[in-house]
Amino acid sequence: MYWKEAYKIREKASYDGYATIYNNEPRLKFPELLDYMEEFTEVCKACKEEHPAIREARCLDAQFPQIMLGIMPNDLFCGREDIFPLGMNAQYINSEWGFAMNFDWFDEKIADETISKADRRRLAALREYWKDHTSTKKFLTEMDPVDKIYMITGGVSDGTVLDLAHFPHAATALQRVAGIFLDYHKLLDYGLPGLLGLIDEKQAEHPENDPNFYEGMRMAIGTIKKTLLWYAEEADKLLETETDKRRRADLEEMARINRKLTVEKPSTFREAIQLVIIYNMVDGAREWGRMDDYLALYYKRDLESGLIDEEEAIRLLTSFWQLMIVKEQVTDDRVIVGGLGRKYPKEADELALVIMEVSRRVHDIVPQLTLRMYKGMDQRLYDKAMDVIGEGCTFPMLYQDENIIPGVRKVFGISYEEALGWMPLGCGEFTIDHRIIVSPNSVLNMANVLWGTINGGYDSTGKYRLTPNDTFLTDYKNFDELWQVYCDNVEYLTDVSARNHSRGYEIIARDMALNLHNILYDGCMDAGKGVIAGGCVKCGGSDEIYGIVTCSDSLYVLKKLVFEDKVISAETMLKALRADFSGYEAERAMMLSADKFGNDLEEVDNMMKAVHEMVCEKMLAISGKYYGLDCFGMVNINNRDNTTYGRNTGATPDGRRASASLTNANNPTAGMDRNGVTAFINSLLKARNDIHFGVVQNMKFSKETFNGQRKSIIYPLMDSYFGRGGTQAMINVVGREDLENARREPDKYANLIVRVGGFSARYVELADDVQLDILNRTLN
Amino acid sequence: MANLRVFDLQRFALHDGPGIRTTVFLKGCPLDCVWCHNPESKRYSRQLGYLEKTCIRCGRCEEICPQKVHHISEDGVHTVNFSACLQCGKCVDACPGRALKIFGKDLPHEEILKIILRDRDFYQRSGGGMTVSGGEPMMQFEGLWELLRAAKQEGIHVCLDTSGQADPEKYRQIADLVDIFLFDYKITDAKLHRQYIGTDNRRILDNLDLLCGLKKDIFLRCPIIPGINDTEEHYRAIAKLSGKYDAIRQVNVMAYHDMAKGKAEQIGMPYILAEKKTVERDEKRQIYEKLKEYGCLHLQES
Repeated sequence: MYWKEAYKIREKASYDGYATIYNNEPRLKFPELLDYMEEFTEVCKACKEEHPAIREARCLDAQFPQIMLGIMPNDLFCGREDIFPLGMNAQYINSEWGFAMNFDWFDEKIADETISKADRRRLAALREYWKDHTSTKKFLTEMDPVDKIYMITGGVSDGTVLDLAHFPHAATALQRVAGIFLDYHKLLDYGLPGLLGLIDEKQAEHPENDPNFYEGMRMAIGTIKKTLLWYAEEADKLLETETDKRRRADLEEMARINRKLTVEKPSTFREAIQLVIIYNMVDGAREWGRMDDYLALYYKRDLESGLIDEEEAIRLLTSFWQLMIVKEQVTDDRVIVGGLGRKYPKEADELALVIMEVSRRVHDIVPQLTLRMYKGMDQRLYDKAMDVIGEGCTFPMLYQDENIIPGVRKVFGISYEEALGWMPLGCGEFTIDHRIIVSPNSVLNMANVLWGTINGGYDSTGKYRLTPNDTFLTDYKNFDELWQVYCDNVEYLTDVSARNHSRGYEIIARDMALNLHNILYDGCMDAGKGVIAGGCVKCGGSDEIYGIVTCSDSLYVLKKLVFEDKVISAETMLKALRADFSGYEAERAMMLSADKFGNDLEEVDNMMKAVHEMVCEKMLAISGKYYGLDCFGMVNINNRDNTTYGRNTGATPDGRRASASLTNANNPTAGMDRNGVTAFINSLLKARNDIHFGVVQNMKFSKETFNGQRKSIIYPLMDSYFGRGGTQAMINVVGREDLENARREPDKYANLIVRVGGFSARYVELADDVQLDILNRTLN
Repeated sequence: MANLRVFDLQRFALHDGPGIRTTVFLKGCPLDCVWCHNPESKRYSRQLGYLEKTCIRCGRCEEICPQKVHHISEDGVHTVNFSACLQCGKCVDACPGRALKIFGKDLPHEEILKIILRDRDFYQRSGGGMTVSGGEPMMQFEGLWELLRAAKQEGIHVCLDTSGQADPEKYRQIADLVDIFLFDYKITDAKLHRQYIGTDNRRILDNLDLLCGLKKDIFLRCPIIPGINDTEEHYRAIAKLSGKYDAIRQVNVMAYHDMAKGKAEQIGMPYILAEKKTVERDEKRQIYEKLKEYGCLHLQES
């Protein structure tokens, strides 16, 4: 991989002892890569003026098969893809989207004297062209200068990338279309030839639509076929030297299936999986949807005919899981099982059990296995889920349909039947399966909104403007005045983010049609429009908030200690915060000992509830206001960025030190929920669940409690939580000792998996401050 | 209406009776067990507690205390003269970091019940409820009776954790309000009982007999303190009791742990067993095995 994501990437050695084969072996040699990048650039230039559908299709096709990686020794399916330092992707790479370049890689190579001068000149020429032609560059160049002040606060290093991690900001917006859930039922029912027929049919039905729109889709399917055939040849090549009988059989099967899929629809479990993998890979989608349902009948038929048994299904799915693992897209790769609204619930349940078993055996951080529960669900699914969770897998994550669907109907403005297709994408943001796109592109750091509110609009250093107010904590006569400015700031920044989020969609729609999405999203083929150009049922977005509890606990302290009890003056408070409490230890002790969210204490929990409702309502109010944002709402899901954003957030009135982690998602400050898990759950249940686009909560249990008292304590506990409106739970079963030992002897704990926020990770691979954040969370 | 003197209130208590429970700890005990895991519960009187690790040495307590209980030396050592303290609470209010506290808060039973009821749903689903423990809760009989009656009226399952050292008449009076008695059985030998607990065990055994006669459900709770009561005679007696009374539904072994040491320090009390180590899992297993050998019935892990 040429592209480092924000989290630590595993080194090759991390895969020692695993059946999974590391992806990080480039297939192309450096000169080949250079040739390729130049060719790709020429194609992009040549079709610059063409219809977005055609242009996208040509640029996509120019990348295949070069970016593909070969078949590795344990693979049972084809579908390994590299990420090049230059390319085009319909989803995103490292928070970039569309036409993207890894400038850091280029700068490194251009400065590398071991590379010939001529090659370095070629690299420089590429860099020179793309610095003005990436999608992100367009996004940044066209940004309103006022918006720029708030959204990136100087965080643009050289005008080429959006640097969110190293500068304080309160709000921002990314440019991408994330959370794609393709209609895999449709894909499998039609197969590639069937889809081509359908495209022709729809074009004939709608002569009013631009024929280029349909042609782009046809071309994209052509690229998929080309990829399948390339892999079939790779399998043939391997067969020339392979002597192991079983491996030969698998390679022959891979070659056969790949060729078959170019001319026929799949008819077996194995064929169906292969088609899903290859389509998903070429498309760039990152989610796998309701796998138990769309593979249900294939599994059942093969089982009945004796073509496979359960163990063979597990072997196949294990290989599938391994292909996901090596992609290292840890915040995506959702596999969803269970839930209302499936086509084949009974058959799907059987496969869901197998899928959970695969995740138990593979024991890794993807796929992000998710169980949608509902009243009347087969008890075996729940029991199996709890067994898998009890082994420390962090999966599946649990969601309760009945507590989610009414809210989803309301916030998306859709019918009950449509709402049955709700899906948690990436870290847990809601979207609707192959009908509504809701990309989470905006970010709001709640604690920095507070900093702006009490510090004349600036961050703790006084250098970066965060909010439009000029008032300080010392200017507010009472808490209500402060609250009003805080709310106004949330509203203002939400609007700035949403406006740019929308602008991002417009730029994308000018550049690309999203051909392969359009084939498998309802409505597009009839409308003759792409998914974000008005083609699908609705298009929306969500705004991800960080540090809500850091903020609500802080607001509570300000209200209580500064305005009501007046034990700390506004002036002293501000000084203490700016000084990161240095010289103000006694004041900090008071702030820390004030009540905190998560203990079932009315007043402080109500503050969290009020902040939650306020921010939800401000964000819902954006719905329909801007292009591509028919529905818009708040998500409180968080990955590790509660820690990375915390690094650039000054000390807060809840007693948190500068640079420490913000609270994660809906959770209390780590370790501050001291009244037991029942009190913690009661606190969680106070915030409304019908006004947001996804909220997640982490629960941490010791193995002794979770496994030793599963039926007597854990089941009733979870029953009470879900029975009283709980929507979601991410359960970490882990020992404190394990976490401490893993910090001391990481080599021995490579297998220790934890739920960070909206993703799971190997504990030893997390940054130090993220590790601490998890260690400090209350263990029940 | 009587207040109850409470020193702790623990939610999600998993070891004081069945299911998910909230345990109310009442202050004051007629016994004086040397190993007592709640040393702050022994006296009925309120007591100052000082937790060194949260103290930031700000000196506010020293400034405010009229009794000169607190002294912070120049090199930052905070000494507390516990015996001079009148529990006025001024230092606790002044302490910014909650390093100081008063053990023993007088609460009306209604207020306690309100907290209990917050977790009602968890009790109902898990077969849990409220446990009143101590100290010896029977020492605050009037308030206890009112709390239990109010809990019963709300349909809350009640466990009473008792040492058995109280007026038999009071046990008769309260028996109907209790679903399960968590009844301690500590030392078999009367002489040793006096030596380690301060009284003999006659009354305790009589009360056990009384409650069993009333057909109340009993969980017999047996603390095992190495070197004190881990004797064959005692194990044999536990096993015998388990067979003697049908009312004994469970026998719980409460293996020694050393948490009391830190708590004793907090209230400035000496702790005689300071050197004794927590009984680890394997040793606990051996205790179970022995009890089983002697024919102990209804043995449950705890």
